[in-house]
Amino acid sequence: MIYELKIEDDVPKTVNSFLKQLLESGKVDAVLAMQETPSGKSAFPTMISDPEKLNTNVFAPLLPVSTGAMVSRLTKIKGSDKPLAVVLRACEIRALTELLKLKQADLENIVLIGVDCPGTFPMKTYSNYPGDDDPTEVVLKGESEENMRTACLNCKDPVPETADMIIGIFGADTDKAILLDTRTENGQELVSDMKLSEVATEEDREKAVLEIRNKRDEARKAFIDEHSDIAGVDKLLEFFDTCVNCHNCMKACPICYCRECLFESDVFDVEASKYMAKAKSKGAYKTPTDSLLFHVTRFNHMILSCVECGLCEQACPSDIPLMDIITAIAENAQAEFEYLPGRDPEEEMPMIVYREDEFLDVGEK
Amino acid sequence: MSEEKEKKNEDFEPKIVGFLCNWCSYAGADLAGTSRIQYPPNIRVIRVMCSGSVDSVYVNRALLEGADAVLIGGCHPGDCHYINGNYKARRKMVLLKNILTTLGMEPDRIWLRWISASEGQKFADTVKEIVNETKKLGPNPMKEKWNI
Amino acid sequence: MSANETIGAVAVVGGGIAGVQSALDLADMGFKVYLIEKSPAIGGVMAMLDKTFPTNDCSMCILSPKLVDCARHPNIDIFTLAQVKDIKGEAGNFKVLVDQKARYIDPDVCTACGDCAEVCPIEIPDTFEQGLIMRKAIYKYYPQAIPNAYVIDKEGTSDHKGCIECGLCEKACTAGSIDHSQEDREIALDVGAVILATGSAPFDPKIKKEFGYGKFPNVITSLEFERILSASGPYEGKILRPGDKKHPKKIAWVQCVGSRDRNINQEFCSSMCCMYTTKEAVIAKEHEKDIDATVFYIDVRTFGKDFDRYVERAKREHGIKYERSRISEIYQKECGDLTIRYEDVEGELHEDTFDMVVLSIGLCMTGDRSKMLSDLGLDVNEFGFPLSGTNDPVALVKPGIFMAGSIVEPQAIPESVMQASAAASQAAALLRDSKDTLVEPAPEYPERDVSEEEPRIGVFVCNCGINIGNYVDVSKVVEYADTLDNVEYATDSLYTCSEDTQKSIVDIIKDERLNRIIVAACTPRTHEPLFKKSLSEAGLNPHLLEMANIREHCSWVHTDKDRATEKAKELISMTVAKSRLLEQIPKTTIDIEQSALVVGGGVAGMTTALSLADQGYKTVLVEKEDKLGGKLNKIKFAFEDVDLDKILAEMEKRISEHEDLELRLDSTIKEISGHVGNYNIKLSDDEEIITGAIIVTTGSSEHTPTSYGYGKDPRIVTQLELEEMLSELNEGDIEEGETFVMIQCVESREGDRNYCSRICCMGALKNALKIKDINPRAEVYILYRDMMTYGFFERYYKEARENGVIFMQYDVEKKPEIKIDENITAKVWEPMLQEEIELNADHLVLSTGMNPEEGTFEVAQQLKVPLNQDGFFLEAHVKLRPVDFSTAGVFLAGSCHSPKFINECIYQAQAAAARASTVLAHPKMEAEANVAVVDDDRCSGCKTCISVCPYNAIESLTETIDGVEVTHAEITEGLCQGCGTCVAACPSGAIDQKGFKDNQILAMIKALGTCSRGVINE
Repeated sequence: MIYELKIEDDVPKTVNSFLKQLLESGKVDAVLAMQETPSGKSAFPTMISDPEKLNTNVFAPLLPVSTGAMVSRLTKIKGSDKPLAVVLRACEIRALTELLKLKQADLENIVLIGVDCPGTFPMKTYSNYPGDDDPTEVVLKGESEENMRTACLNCKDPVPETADMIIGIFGADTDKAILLDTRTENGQELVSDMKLSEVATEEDREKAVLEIRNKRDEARKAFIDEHSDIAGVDKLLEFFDTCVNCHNCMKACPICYCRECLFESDVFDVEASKYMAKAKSKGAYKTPTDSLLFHVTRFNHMILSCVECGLCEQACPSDIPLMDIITAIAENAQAEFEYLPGRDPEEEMPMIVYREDEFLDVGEK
Repeated sequence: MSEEKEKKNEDFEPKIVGFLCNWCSYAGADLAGTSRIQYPPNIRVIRVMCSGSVDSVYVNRALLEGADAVLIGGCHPGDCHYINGNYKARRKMVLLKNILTTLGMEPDRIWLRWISASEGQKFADTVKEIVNETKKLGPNPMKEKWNI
Repeated sequence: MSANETIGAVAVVGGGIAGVQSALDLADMGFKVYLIEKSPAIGGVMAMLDKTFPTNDCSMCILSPKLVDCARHPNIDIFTLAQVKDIKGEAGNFKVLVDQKARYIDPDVCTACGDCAEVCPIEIPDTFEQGLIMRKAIYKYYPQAIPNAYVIDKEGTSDHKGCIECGLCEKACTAGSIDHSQEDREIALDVGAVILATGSAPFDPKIKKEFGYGKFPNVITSLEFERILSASGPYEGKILRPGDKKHPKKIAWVQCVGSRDRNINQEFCSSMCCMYTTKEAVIAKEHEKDIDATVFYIDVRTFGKDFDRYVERAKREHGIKYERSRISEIYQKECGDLTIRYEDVEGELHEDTFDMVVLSIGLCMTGDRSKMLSDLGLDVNEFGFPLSGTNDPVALVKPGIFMAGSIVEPQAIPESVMQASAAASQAAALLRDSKDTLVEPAPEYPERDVSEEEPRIGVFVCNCGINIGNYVDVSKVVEYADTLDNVEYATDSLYTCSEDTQKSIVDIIKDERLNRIIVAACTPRTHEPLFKKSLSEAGLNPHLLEMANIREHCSWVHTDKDRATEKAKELISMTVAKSRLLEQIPKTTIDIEQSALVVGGGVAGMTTALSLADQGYKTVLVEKEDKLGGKLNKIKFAFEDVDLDKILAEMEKRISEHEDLELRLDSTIKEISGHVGNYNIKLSDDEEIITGAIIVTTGSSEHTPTSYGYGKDPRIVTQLELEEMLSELNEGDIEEGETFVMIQCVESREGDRNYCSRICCMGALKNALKIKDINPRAEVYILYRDMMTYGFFERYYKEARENGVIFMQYDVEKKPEIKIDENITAKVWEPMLQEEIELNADHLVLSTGMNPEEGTFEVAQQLKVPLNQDGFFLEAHVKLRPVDFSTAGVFLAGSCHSPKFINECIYQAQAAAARASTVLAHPKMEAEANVAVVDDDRCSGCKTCISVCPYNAIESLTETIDGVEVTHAEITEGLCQGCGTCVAACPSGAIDQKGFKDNQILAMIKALGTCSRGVINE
């Protein structure tokens, strides 16, 4: 059911007001949503239980962390026994779905409120937006996508399909109203006491969603084409030349869930004589070692669940444009197994299932 | 191809790392031995219990250490001694090759072959084939890189 | 004679798959086994097959581990070139007299290097290869032969002389294993029971002159074709025809050669030929896509599990042609091609020419096998096969002697394996009081703990006579090994496996305080246990051994000595790298609760329960109804006037009186948890039971049809309903001309019940003969697709025809139709007359087959065992583990596996009891050493490993650690089979497999990386 939420002040305040209603209704004990920090320089997914302290901006165009990963942190040990509403973007909900499959999150008593995502800016750009414009306004107006993060320009799907309800701006005249699309019984139940008016037609929404998806798809394809030359040993080593092995990309990635990454364990550690032998055989040997191995292995482990959120690129202290290669790797690998991360929580991860009649030419002469 | 590179390729003897599963492919390699079927001495075998236990990290490590080719030998689909390890190995290798293809990291250096315990000739033929094809690819460029 | 005077040993006669299975089961239970085999190696006919149906598994690959287990088992003594002459004594105390021919070679010394065969001047047709190629007088029976030793044939054949004792082989053998003066000997074995598993002979089609075998070189037997298909066969896996070695493009298979043949007293069906023919055609096409394959058949007997689908796929996907026909003659054309003249279903004569013809030969009882039966004074049936005791398919009339395999009846591998285990359970029950009396536990040596020591590696390089020494510079290899870090001792020897070298290794380990041993020699698959034993003797944990294969993988396959030496060095460098990181693996055992639970009280459940209880294991039998018997209660009469009521009553009595058996009627399972050796079961009344093993015997039920007007007219019944009706009739209750029309395969073998239920054809015949018995003038029509009267059931098909039952064949594309008004009319297409025949039926009888019993799905969920696509339980391996689940400690039997006859249920049930006994036999069971272990601290509880484990050996454990609830994976050591798949599945590397740890493998890769560039000190 698609409803309309009439705009009060502006879009973020309208949503805030809606969330306040939700909290006050007692249907949820807390809301997890993007709330600007007091200085205004940043925003973070924040748990808010006091409706007076609610000051969210769910469309704040930055992605400091993946809310999906935050839900995992909150619920990994044990699920919530009180109702909680979580507001998240499309890539975050897809990441959360993958984490669910990996038993790293528990959605007991949690309602997922998805929001359409028009895109985000890098952290530094957000806190210091050129020309003193309000980044939220920029992104809601949708006129210019200059300054947007690469990952967002190539977004896999900006609509959070699997949420219990979606707060939508695509297909809405955001000066007048935004959309509230209840997708599941849980979502519908949350708004059952509110007086909401239905939209006249769902066509506008459908059309707008199709348009933005097409736009992003085309951009992604062009992007992949453009960067397809980053291939081959030399180009790759050049690409990773400034990598300092900090593993930040792994730490920021919502999918990387290992308690201790293989590369932070001692499995690769050896005594000096072995390193010396290596140096002897090659003539020279860079430290830290196994840099490229780390990246290739990380891709092996997580690329099938990669939601292309770009947090890895954002986290890199050397500003390595990881999306330049990850976009292609993710697309190709996922296509190979006809798998889309986050599409369906019941869908099994590709590496734990198999069919006898697939890849029949592999292994044969 | 330049003359110099061609000559280098001619002299080049690829080093192949072979992960052979204990029940089928390792036994097949043994049979090649008992039958005295000759093949080039380029392969170094690491025995594992099942092709399904060959972690992609091993294959990656081998390649990044400079192995010119990696062979993973398993039982034919349906014959796996541990029921279905080879099916999982197949998916793992398909994924690895897909990633390496996108990265342009010569996925053709990775070979997954089903070799049963009675296929000594097939093992020898596979080694010959890998040697020939890898010679065409040339030495693994990773060998010379000191900043990997 | 009192029970404790029985001898705790069993003689198993015949080393084919049945003999091997019996031997392994009995040895695992704690009995001494003497495995007696006529040929120079065990393996039987299964070793000759290329692939097995319906999975197309490589036969040798699935057989070889069992043969190796036999060879290594401390409780099994193998006697090859041996035949049983006589069995004296009685049950519990037999003396078996065995004639063993001389091998002229000491198998303990022979290294199977083959140097002797190289120099032998005599060539004899190779019997294993069916005479398609020659072998030498000194030879190894087949490449993977167990015992892995050569043998000298001094007899030769009628056309070829044997060994001429020239002595060249003796000179060539540097190990000194040849002794031409060896003599035949007679051995007397004292045993408590005997199992005959000598099989039956492949039929020799020479006497069927119309097929031209023996005259036309391109007419071959199916066994010859198996060898041709085999990669290690006479043509190295290339399909060539023997006549001119050309590639045949068009091949014909001729069914029933030597079977279903009244003229040569072989009027029985050999049961396996329809399936193996399909397999051969499918595999032939896999070798070469464009081979044109045609099968000339009478019926296609696809009565086994998944057989129908296999043949359907062969027709549909592989394009194999099936021609229902009668062949009159095969004649040869000049070029060697063969023309088959045959009559089709419509009675028309045809001729077709082929490049090669394969005769699908059956089995028969002739030659040495027949002689043995008559020497032993055993009663045989009209075809020469031994007669079994009443109601016990694997017991002979003489107590204490059992049989298994195709000596019982021509049959395929799963039945042979089941009977083998069944015979083992019978023998075990007979000898229950002398279990473990003749077997010696392995000697235990004190082990020194080396975990605090720096690795001190000893490298022992073998020359293997000249087998390694001539092709690899062993001294350079030793020199190189010495330079490697942590190698404290390096040496070479002529034959590392020889007794004296073994002794010196033990001494060196002690003297040099070595704590890691590397043997660079042959493949670990032969001598690893031998070297491990030496480590134990020297006080080291046996898992501190690692072998480098420089023979099979190096000296035997590379001609360039320099490069072979380089390779050997690198292999040793890699092995040294791994061995530095080797850890002691302590022997772990699982505690076994020595009792069992049987789920389902039909004939299979009762048999299993009794068999286990007879062996002394406390057993609980759970049955959901209020009485025992299952479908036995529904069967009113049987062939040969077997009194089923009496049998059921006897079993019930035995069960109620048995001191080791408890019965729970009106009872089902509520909950199951645990693992092999320790299952916790809660029954429906909340009673809790702990057992070590569970056997599932939940059975099946007749399918209720919805077509052919069933349920709409009382004249339309199922076979079971007809049976009930007939059981209450007497002579005169059926009128002359009263017509029964039976339709076979109703809602079976098509659609979503695409399997054959095996028992319906015989069920129809049984009822048909009963009808004819009541009134010979009643009319009975059986409309069938294929008459599945396999094995000796064929005689009932003949009897029915002789009694005037009319058989009409129909194809699934043109099924019979019926019309119901005041009459029931069945319309069926008659191909010979080319018209539709109408039959007026007074009774329409539908054979609908069986479905898995209600509740099967729930039981499968509770036990976490799989079902196949038809809803029947899925066993661990269709051929070689037909009563095991892949989950350890759970077994199955009876029609819950697939529909089957009562006696088949019985021996499968006995087999399940035997397999369960191998688990329950001792209070502790040794667990697999190379198991995987989860590091709790690193596990993130994602359950990826749980999803990929094929043995359900990993579970999710929630524990409170330091006040926090943590969920992580936990591997049950007892269930882990050591495949390592979980290790590769875990992205954190939180799982490691003992003996194949990540750091060990990575070290090997690293070592190869550095030493390849000539770096010595790595």
